[in-house]
Amino acid sequence: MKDKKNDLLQGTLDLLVLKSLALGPLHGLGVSDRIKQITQGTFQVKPGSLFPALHRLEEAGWLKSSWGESENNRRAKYYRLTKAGQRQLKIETDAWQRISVAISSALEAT
Amino acid sequence: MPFLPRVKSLRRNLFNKEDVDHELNEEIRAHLDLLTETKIKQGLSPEDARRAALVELGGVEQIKESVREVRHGRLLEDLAQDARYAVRSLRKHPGFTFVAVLTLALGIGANTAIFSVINAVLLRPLPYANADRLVLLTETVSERPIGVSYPNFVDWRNQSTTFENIAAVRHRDSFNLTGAGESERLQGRLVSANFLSTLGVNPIAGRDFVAEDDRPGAAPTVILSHALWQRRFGGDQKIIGSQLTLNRQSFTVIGITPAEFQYGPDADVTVPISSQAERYAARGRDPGIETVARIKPGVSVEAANAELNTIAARLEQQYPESNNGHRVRLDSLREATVGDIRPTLLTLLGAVGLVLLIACANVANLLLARSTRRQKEIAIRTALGAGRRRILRQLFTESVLLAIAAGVAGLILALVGTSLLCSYLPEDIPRIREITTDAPVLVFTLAASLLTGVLFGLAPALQTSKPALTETLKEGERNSSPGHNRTGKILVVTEVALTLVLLIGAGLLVKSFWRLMQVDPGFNPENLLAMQIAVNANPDEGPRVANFLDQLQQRVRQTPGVQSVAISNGLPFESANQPAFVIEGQAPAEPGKEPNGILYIVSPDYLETLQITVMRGRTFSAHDTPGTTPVALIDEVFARQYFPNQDPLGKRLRQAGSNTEYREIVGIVRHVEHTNLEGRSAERGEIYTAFNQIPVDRLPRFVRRVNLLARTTVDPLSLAQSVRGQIAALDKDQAVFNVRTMEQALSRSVAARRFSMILLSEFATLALILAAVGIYGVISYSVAQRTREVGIRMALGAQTTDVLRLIVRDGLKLVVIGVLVGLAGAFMLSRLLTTLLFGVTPTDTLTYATVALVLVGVALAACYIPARRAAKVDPLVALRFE
Repeated sequence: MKDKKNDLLQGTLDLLVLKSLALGPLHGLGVSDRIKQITQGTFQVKPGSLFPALHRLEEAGWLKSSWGESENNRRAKYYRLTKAGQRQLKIETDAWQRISVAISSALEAT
Repeated sequence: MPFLPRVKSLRRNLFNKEDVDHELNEEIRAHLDLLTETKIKQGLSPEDARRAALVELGGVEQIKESVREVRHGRLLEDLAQDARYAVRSLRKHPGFTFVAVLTLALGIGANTAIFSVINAVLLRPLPYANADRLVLLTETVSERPIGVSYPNFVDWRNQSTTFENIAAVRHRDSFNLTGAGESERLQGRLVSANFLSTLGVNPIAGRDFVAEDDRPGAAPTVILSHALWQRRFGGDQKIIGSQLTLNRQSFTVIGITPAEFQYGPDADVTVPISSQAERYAARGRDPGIETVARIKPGVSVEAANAELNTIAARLEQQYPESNNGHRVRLDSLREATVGDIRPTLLTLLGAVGLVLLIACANVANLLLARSTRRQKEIAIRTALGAGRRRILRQLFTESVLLAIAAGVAGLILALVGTSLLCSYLPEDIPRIREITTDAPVLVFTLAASLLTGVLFGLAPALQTSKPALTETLKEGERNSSPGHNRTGKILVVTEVALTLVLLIGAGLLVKSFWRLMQVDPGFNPENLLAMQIAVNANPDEGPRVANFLDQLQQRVRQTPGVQSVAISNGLPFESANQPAFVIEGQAPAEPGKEPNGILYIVSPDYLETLQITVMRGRTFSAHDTPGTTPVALIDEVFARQYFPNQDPLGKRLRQAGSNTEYREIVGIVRHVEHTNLEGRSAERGEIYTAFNQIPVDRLPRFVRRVNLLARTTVDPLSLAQSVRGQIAALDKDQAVFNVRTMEQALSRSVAARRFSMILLSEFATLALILAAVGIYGVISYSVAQRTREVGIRMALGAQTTDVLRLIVRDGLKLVVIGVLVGLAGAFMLSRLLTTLLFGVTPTDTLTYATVALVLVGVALAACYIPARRAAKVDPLVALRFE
């Protein structure tokens, strides 16, 4: 269901989607496969979360979509990063790294 | 975020909704295909692959809904959709919609109407520039207010520094307008030259008075009211500078007041007070002058008050004879104008507020009953991916839409109601002409509507949107949600309690009024015609006046239908002098505590005509003339107050001041209520002296306003015309005014009470009807729910009366709880009514009991109808019912 996720999780998903598209355009299934791949299977994004995320990022102007052909000549909707999306990816990556360093050191503190 | 893409996507989302939806469908289908393909590659058969893909995809509709959620314009789109849907759903149930809108419209309309009165009378500043700096100055003697004496006013004005202006005004002076056209009686006011400028009012034509106009011996000038100017002179500008004959004296018209200008009683003409200076020259006299002042900016009321009282203390030392104990009181003009009416209006606002709450409870109940029928629809919507918030929003949209429709209808009702209210309102309620439906009123209506919408929508919406998906879908048509009935019952209890509070309030007012009507005014007001005449005479015309009054009485007495006739200076329910007296042989009283009483100067037939009982001694006779021993009558109150434990008969008293003669008390009469029926004048005694004993040379001073009274054998007003005819035959220029019966005068004195009583009773009745409908609704609903149960009971041998009792008992339980809560509420709230009550305590047991019984009776009837329906149930039908 569409229960509101907490901001951290939603932010993480957005970041992963942006990251997955950093190398080039992908369709929805491609995005979720790529996320699974780059997170070594930790994140398996279900369509119920994936599509809202893609559309949310598109509404925000970070992604742009267009119809294209898949490798098996199937019609599919492809997403790619916009300029703003690339900037956003940079911003979120930096922010995430700061947080992750902070949290790690906090957890390692004795 | 970039702005332009957002706007673009908003436009796309809102206006190309179908394209967007279609694309989303496509996207998801493509996704599914891709997924299936992947599964096939992994080695599944096409069917298994498809199934696995579908499982992995999850609920398509829910995905679509959650994608829609994140789109721009979602809120707007939802709102439009909700509104459209709400309109459709309301139109599908015109009966429900009509009843709900009507109920709420009555509540909102009544609130708006009362609020527009309150807004105009209590909330809006007085219609003068910087009205918050205007105060009324009242001269007091040991805290008791008296009129301001003119020389004191002049000294206050000249010696004070904290005021921009102090102005004097004397209301209700009358003028005979003669000359061109019909002679006419005009209402006038005498003012100091700075009266209009103190209020910050400028004439719309001509000029204001200047100090030179307000000097003894100045050329007489007059400012006309807008109304008189229009009515009598057709709004002709050339009237400025022309001459008018008022009281046989020529006045120059110098200005016109603005149409909207109002201060105190209406006046056609405004004249400088110095034109009558000789009447007001004495410092010890109380000629009924009112002083209104404007405090300088930045000066506090306290400072002004302190300074004025210092001046008063100085005057006291300077003029001990007349100013002993005299002080000044400051009241804000606004408080002085509207302070008295505030409790009444606030009570009415409270009452309509309760009515609106009851209306809300009723509509909430209607919605609840309806929502049970909608459970399935809601469940389906939930299954299709609508979240609880989404459903709540939908339900609230419906309520608010209902409320706004009701607000519009209520506004129309209020417009009608306000004009109706204004014609109902007693004339002496201040500022009623300022009542309009302006922006604050509209804002109030809107706020009331929205609040109402949320209020009555809340419980049903929470109830309905409760996610109980599977149960509801399983239940199908056979639904019985215990939650609904509990909420409905709470609503009914609330309604009953609120209604009882209102009914008790109304009951107390009704009883007060009834008590008031039982008060014996001390004279017989039936078949008593009263009118006023003003005789204009120069000081040397005494004999002519005496002759005129004689002839007048004789002629009127000869009019068929007239039994007896009297004239008087001073009349109950009218103004009268209240001078201080000196009683022979009694030690001089402390300052401010001198014996005083209401003075009536009357013709010999006065007591007989009014049928005032003479308790001891004699009344006046034709033998009491200027030559014989001066005599006086006193009433029982005066006798008790100033002659305790002694016989007043034969004692002598005189009016305070120099140059007055002692009069012998020859009789004691019944006390007469003077200002109203509420006994506030009971502590003030009354004194009668004889018109016939006024020396002829002083007579003209006493006839500026004379009451003519006629006891009739037929309807008094039917004789008004012939009496007027008799007077005109005697002197065609003699204006007659204020023609009324004493019953009318009496009824006018209770008009404000009657008004609040009638209005509160109407609101209470409305509440009672609404509550009855509410009870009926809830019981009907529970009967419908229990049809099966009733059928089983009857099949098992229950009798009609058993079923009746079962249902009625259920309803009655709610009513009794409501009544108990209401009684407690009324017990606490009714003391707020204390100032409006007369002769009854706020916790009058009889009223409480009667009202509670009435309410229970009505509630019983409301339960009985559905109960009888239940009792008529055919067990066979009932068992097959579901």
